[in-house]
Amino acid sequence: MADILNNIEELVDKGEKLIDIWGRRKPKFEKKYEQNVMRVISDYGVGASENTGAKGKILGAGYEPYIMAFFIGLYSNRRLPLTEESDDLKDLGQPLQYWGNLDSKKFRKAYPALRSYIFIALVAKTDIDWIALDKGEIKVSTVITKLIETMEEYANYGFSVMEDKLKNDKSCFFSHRSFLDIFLQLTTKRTTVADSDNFPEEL
Amino acid sequence: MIIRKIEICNFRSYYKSNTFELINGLNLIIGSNGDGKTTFYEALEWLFRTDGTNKMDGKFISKKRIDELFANESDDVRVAMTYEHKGTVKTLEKMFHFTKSFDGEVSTSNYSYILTEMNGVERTVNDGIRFDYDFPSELRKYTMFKGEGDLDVFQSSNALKMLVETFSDVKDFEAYFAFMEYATKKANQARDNAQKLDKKNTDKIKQLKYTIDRETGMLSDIEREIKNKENEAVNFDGLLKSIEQSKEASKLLISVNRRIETLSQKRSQTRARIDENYTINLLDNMWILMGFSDIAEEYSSKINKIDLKRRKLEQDYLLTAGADKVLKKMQSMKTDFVPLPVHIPGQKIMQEMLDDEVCKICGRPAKKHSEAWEYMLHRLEEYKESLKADEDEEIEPYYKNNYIVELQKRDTTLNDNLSEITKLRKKIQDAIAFNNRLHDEVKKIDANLDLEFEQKKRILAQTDGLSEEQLLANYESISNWIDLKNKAENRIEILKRQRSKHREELENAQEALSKLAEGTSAAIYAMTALIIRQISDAFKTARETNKKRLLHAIEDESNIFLDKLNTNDFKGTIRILEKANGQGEVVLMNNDNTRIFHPNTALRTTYLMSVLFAISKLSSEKDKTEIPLLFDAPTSSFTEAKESEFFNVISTLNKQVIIVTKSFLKENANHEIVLDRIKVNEISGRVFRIEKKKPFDDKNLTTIQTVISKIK
Repeated sequence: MADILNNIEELVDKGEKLIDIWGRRKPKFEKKYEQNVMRVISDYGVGASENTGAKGKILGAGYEPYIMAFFIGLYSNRRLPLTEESDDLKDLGQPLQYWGNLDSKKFRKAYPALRSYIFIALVAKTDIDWIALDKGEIKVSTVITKLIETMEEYANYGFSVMEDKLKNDKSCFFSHRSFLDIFLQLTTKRTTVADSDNFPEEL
Repeated sequence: MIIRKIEICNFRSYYKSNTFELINGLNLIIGSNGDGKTTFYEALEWLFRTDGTNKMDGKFISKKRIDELFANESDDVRVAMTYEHKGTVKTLEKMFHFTKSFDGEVSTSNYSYILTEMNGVERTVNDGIRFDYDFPSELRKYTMFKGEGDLDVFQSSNALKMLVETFSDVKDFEAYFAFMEYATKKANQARDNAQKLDKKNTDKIKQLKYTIDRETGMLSDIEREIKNKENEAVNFDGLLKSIEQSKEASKLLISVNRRIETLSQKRSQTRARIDENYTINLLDNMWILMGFSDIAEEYSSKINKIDLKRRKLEQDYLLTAGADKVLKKMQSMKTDFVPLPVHIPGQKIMQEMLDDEVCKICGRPAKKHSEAWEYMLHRLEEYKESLKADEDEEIEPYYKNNYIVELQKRDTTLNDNLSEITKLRKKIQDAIAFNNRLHDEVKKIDANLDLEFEQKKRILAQTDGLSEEQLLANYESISNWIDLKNKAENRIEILKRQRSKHREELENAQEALSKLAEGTSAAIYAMTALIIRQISDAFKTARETNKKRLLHAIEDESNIFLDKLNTNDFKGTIRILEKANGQGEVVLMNNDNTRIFHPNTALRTTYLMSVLFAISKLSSEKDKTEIPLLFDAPTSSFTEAKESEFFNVISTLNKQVIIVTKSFLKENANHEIVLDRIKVNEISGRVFRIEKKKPFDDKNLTTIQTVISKIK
């Protein structure tokens, strides 16, 4: 199915694209989530490993919980500004352009195209004077910063949701349905697909 | 030997003194569970123990009696038996003293074991060990039996040998064997010495003696090998017999194991098909885009608006810039509306619409060379043109960047992908449903697996004592063992033929040697040696014959008893086999001379008992003395009818039999266990009822006391 979804960059010119400039950035997150969320459910901070499953972690690199957090914020349509205390912030290790490449992971499939969809969402959700950009009246970096800011704020909200869930139940994300159910629940109102009993909408 | 009286005093549940006066015939001691049946049996076992073990043991002492004693008070544990043996009345008595200390501890002392003999008024006291003279310990093995499982006396490896030694005259022969061997050797020596003088035949004699030595050596080798091979054959036969009983279980087990393997495989295959890495699928298969259509729409409308504005601004700029070339170019494309960017709807789609002669955007037909068709063709060419580098760009471009174009182009693909995004939810649903179906399948397989494991447990529980490994190994071993057994048996055949050949050679050599002696001074020695050898052989044959005669006698007697004990039932014929290793085996044969391997328990009990009765009878004929038979619960597998019949037959046997049993008890209207008087009256013989004295505390052993009442 993802083969079709993967063609997202097919028509876009090969030159220096906005998405490439965006791709060189590393989004920030609040430090407290490193210990409370990222390290609990992913290999974040442990280095690349093929044994995510063996360690009981459900996700690999640190950007994976970040993606989860971002989409939770996106689908909830809730942004949470990051703390202004820069000491309490941290850059994610991997620039966006490598997200989903998964070169060293066994039993996993790369999903580089997902980056484009994140980018699309950021464009949709960020207020930017695009004409001014094309005219060269505002700097590209300003635009990119705004996009990244949107991303960070959605993810920040997502992390806060995940942290709450983990506070209630330390192992809540170790059920194979945990994230799926979160997303099914968040996106149910927006879809017209007839739901079956498999979907816990009423949660 | 007839037991007249048994006294049990302070022995476990037998509180203070209790006496059983017994008759020569059937004596029944009836009691329910815990009433003291087994204790009665154990008291006698203790009394009969002449080996000096288990002399005093605190566990023998009546708890009730201990409880009752004051500090520093004491009493005795005592078991005594008065019996009549060869006209003399004797009493065997074993006892010890026990004392309760101030702190309630019990100590034992003063063990005594004595045999008292009454000769008229004269009373002789002997060590109890002398009881062995009246009732040899090896004989006691054939008189006391605990439960039905204990009846096969031949299970013990030397039972047959002991039986033969005890009951036949074979033992008397043994002394002669050693002498005969010695005599034969001496006689041969004497003959040899005498023949030395016969110078004429020195070479021939030397030759013959050499032959005799050689044949004797070979014969002893052959005998040894026969014995080994016979042992082998017996061993494999035994193994095969043990399998005989478990063969079916092995077979069932193998098929159950096979089914378990198949099901387990199916289970793991099904499990492997379950893909519940939902979290991973959210990323790797981008399921996370399940809610993306709203965002895609938001993006599209936003970008389209911006793009439209961008182009409008550019168009206005170019128009006002007024370059001829540009003007011309613009005029050619001027329309009432802002045209779509040239890359829309894309080269592939445009070509497709031209080929199909229809505008797929508005849905109207566009016949070849029609105005609409030409327009589309123009657009396609225009697009192709736009891909080429602009050679003669003269006007300064309105925009420095083309980022909106990038966003716009991405939107085109996004629109193409929209249907795929909306399908994601259904796909996820399907995946979950599929996995749930597989889970159900696994559950079903698990249920079947449980059934198979249950079956396996049942099979293993019902094959006495064999482990799964043994059962499986046995099954694989069958052909191997049959092979080895046949090999051993074939070898025995060959060896036996060789043996008779060598025996003949030896015989001939001996004879030739004797012949050479004829007419010489050695003749008389040769004759003597020959006679002694013949006597020695006669002894050997006699021993075998004697043993066979004994076994036949036991067989015959056993079958008479079996006939009586099983009047109206199938019984078969008892045979006593001697195995190559000297061990005996009592078997039941069908009239077609095949062995009955699994007689029912009642039949097994009666045929084994028949053998015991037969042995006991033979012993009385031999020594002119009876030996009593004592059974603890031998008839637990009998039906009521069979039991009554069985006891009636025993009462007519004219021999002393003491049976401890829980038969003839029934439950009355008040749910109490009482004696079935009617049934008891049908039995001829003595009947005792033993029971716990009421009331008693079912949690307190010190309240338990066995009371005896003589019923008749």
